[in-house]
Amino acid sequence: MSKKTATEIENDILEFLKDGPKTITELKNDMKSNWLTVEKFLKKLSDEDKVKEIISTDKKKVYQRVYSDTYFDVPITTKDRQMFNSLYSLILSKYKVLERIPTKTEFAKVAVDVIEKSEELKDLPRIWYLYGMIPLKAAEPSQEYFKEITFKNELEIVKFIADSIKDKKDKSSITIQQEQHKRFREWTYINCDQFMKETKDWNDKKILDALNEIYISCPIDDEFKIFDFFDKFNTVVGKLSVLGKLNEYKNEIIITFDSLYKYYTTYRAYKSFQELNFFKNNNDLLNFYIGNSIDSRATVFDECFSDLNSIYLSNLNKNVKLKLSEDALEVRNIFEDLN
Amino acid sequence: MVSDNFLDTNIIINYINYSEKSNNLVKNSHDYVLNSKGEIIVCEMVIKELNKIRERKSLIRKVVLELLKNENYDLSLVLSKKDIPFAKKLYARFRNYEIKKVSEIFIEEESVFAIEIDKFIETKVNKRVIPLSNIDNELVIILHDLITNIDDCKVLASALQYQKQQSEIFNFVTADNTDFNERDYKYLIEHFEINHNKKGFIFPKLVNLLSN
Repeated sequence: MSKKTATEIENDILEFLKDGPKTITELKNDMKSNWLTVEKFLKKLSDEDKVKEIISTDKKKVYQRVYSDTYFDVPITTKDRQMFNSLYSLILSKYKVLERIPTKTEFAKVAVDVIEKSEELKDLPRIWYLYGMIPLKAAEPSQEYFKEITFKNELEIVKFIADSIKDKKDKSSITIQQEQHKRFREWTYINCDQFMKETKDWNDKKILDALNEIYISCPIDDEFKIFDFFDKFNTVVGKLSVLGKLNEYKNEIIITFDSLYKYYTTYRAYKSFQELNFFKNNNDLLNFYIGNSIDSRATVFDECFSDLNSIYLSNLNKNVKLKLSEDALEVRNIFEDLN
Repeated sequence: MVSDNFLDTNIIINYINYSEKSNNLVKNSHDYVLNSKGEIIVCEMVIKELNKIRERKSLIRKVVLELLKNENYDLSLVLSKKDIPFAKKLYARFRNYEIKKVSEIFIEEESVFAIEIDKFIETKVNKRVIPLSNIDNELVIILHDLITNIDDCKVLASALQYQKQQSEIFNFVTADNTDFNERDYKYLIEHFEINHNKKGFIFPKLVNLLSN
């Protein structure tokens, strides 16, 4: 048997890592090679940012393939990648004809619209994230894409592209996002949009109304602190409101809300992968792909919340008169036996 | 002589919950704190429990909102058995209200409740003692042989540790007849005298407002 070239070994490693992260021993067995060779080429691929070491202990090293073109480095199939690239190529061609360059948001939303409508594309993965629903493979307007496959119903796809571009003409990225949230009836996104809108022209009553809507729509999830975070934020804003200090600390409220929104949307991305049945095991999804992002978003929220709470405590007026409405008093009475 | 008062969580909750419509126990707890001459002492475990109660109440309220959205919502998915009756009572009370209005009422009650806890700690409490990391785990395990609720064990362990540092006996004030009734507390003291005499723990005087 002839000896493999360096390029062949590298390709083999990348191919075997397509199914998910692996240890050096697993790769060595898959490739029928030896530990030292595999380690040497992993180091080279790591220097080239094609793989990354995700677990490193004395006994175990785990490597993951880097897909810099997908969100959270989540692997997609070659066929899906080709379909995404071909679709993106068609979309950008259409913009070229119109002598326009789309924003990143507009580009992604046109892609989502077309994927939604086309029977041929409907299985391409999309997730909910910071700016609403987006294709799992990032859509970059500045990048050049090539048609790697010919679609069976290309004419129909081209028509869908034209319709979607026409629909988004003269709309801001924010409007495009908000329309999508409404179309999919994603209430937490819709209500967060409303809150952010209200912060532009601050009015305490409207801010509290918007927060109330978010509180109603936010999910409860045993696994994550999602409700806990919304509740903490809501309570501290409610307390500042009782103290009459809402307007005074609007910047801190907006910053904390932003960190909460980012936590929620990263959590929502995680739920999208679950809905797509993308991973056989949720632990793999959390441990290797999205868990770190969720954790770091949570840390940022905790820090912002802690600052906001300190502001509240420093404003806590010991003589503040607290009066409950009749209805709230009834709630209080129902809870009287809860200890 | 005026004794200091080491408060259990339920006394603080009762104090905060006090209104004209309150039951006798809540009124007694409120009056006890109000008329207390000695210092008010609270351990960090009680502060932690106050937060836990606030979180439990929040979850119950949120579940009621979910019920208002969908009357078939399964309460047991999220709530413990002992919290379900509160959700049912709230739902029965507000089922004919618009959900937005109910949420507003809940947020109002929650905000005021949370401020009242903070205000109580700021204005009524003279000493915050025994950080969570200083709770004697060995003592907690000993207490757990006789007291089922582990959080109650941690509160009492904090009280015993603090009492050990003091020259005067203070009152351990509670409104809990399950873990801290007079008979069991007396038994606990005897148990310590017989089995753990060398550890030198002295028990504070039990003031159980539920027995008064």
